[in-house]
Amino acid sequence: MEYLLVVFADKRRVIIDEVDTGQHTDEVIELEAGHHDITLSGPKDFMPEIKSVVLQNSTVLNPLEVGFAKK
Amino acid sequence: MLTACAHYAENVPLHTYQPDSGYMYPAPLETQEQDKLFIALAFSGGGTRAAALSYGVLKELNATPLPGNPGFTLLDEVDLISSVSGGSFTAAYYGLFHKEIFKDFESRFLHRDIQGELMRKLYNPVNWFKLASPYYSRIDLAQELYDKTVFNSAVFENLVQEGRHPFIALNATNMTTGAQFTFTQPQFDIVGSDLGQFTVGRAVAASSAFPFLLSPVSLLNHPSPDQYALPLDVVNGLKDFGINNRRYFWALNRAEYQNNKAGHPYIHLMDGGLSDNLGLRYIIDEYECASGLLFQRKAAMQHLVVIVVNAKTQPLESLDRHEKPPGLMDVAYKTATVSMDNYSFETVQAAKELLSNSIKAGQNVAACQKILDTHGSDGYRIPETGHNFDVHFIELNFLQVKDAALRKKLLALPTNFSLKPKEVQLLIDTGKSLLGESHEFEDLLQTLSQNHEGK
Repeated sequence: MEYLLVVFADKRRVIIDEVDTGQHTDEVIELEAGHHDITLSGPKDFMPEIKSVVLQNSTVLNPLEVGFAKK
Repeated sequence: MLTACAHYAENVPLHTYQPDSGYMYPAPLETQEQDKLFIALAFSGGGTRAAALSYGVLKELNATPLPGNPGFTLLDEVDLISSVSGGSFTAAYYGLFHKEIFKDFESRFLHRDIQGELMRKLYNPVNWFKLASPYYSRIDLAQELYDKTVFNSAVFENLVQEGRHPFIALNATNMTTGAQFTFTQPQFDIVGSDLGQFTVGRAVAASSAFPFLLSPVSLLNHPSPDQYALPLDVVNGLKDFGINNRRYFWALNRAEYQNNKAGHPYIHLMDGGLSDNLGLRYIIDEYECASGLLFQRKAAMQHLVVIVVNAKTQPLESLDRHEKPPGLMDVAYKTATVSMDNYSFETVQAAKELLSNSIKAGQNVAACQKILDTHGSDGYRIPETGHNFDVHFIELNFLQVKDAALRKKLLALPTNFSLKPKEVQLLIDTGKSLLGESHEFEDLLQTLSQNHEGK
């Protein structure tokens, strides 16, 4: 498995491939390797709307970091 | 005339796609409380032997009080049962009739000579006309028998009405791709069909369509409703060749039936044991994939329990005693069945490692944080994992039976749908005792008791 860390100013649930993971920003999310589309739940006050990533070669201590900025 | 009329029961088209409707696991927001203790069972194949062993395990779970919840048992906490072949009879029966199973499953299925009844149907001249049709075969007779005499002609809509708790995942094998085919609405969405109207008996017949003895179950691959599009998890998985081949082929086996309907107007299904004779792969997939029901519950779970009920035997083989190579029938039979249990132990090992690595990830973060705290890090916090649960993985099989003579007897039991009453009783008792005497099960009960006392 691979590891993803989504960073945003507010605590939000992370949506991966259009599925609500129930896990949050600033938490390391364990996920299978490959192409994924990442976005956040709640108000659409962040940019970009979606980030597409290829997740591989990460570890729990060195996760792939994906950031969203406040609009 | 009768020949011309005989046709297998067709799966009906899905006219309107509704993403959250039909026989699928409920949305995570609906199950947050029950997800804290998530119990998944995997029932293996093995004819009546597997059905009786898994029934014994259900009985033991029902006899085990849930710590801190008077009047409730561990069976009430079971969330998911994934099954193949013989195990699918027990799983489907429990999904439909819940604890009524303890009143009549033995007489309605376990103690019956299902094989003999099927043979009598086969020899009945009335059925000869039907069987002469190219669109009607032995499996359709079997389905009629199961629907009428075991499952009360229930359809999957009845399982929806029963609350989908536990959720029953009946697994068959797609003959073309060799991939697992699970009877859920998301799988039926891909073939443009409404699972709600499909009989449970036909799904169980597909799951237990043993090669040669029974013919495949056929489905129509209908055009999809206009609103339907492949899930993004599948679309992204198609880009993963060379990065994550497991995900790529998982996606490809689904996408092919949506993207190339002209090339696959029909789907033929056989025994689920051909792709995984434990029923465990479905649980692994649902844990790994972002769209998986277990993946979506990682944040809510506090305890994840997986119980694998494996009725694998070691029948005495005589092939090696003869210099003359085995004949065509032996070779054909072995070619079709030898793979069924070849990788069962590896599948168990892979599942254990997958779950164990999840736990270790959290432990690694905690250990590193401790080192940073000890050696001064200006209060830096390493991001914690979004999941934090313990895992109890329990595998039950005949090799664990302590009494050597009993173990030998169990390992030599045949794979069929007609066991003697004493053999059925022995298997039920074995299922109960294997679970009751399991150290991992003891650990689980201790954890649940401590958890309750700590509240």
